[in-house]
Amino acid sequence: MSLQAAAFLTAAFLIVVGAAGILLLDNLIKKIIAFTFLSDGVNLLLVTVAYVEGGHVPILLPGMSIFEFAEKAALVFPAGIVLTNIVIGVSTTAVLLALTIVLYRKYGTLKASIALRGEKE
Amino acid sequence: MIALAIGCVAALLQKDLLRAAIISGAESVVLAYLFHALLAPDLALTQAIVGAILLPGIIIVTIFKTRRFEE
Repeated sequence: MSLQAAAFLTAAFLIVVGAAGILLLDNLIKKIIAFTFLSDGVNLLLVTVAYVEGGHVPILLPGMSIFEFAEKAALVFPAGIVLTNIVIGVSTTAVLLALTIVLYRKYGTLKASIALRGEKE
Repeated sequence: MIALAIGCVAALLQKDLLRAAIISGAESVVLAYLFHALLAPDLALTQAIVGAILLPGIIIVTIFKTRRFEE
């Protein structure tokens, strides 16, 4: 199996596990960790799309022809999207964790089934 | 890649949230190496810093402000 196919399968597995964790787990911090796995899976999918078989890193070195570079270099547009997505994912996770602390102070529990129903213990 | 798959399932099955955060950080380092193998070294650097230090850090701060064990 080539590297690209194996990376596709890994990305699909990460996305499925992250979505299942968000839907099925009860603990709020576990849900947030599953959200980071889902985000990692989407990033890995985009990077795998950008991969070129037998290519090289998209940096133009001295002595390299521009046409040869354009044929063999990995795509740069998905890399830009993924770089943005990593940074935005961190800030989104930070906001989610802050809201989790607020929920814990109000309801005294981390279980989503109790805290999101709106009852005090 | 197999380590990546095992790591994400193992992190979600832990009862101890601190251990789950640390395992997710280790999984992120493996993902950074995979980015390097897929010809994106800039993303590998970003993912290694963010996923191995920043994300487990803020999750651990949240765990210490709430409670550590899942009931």
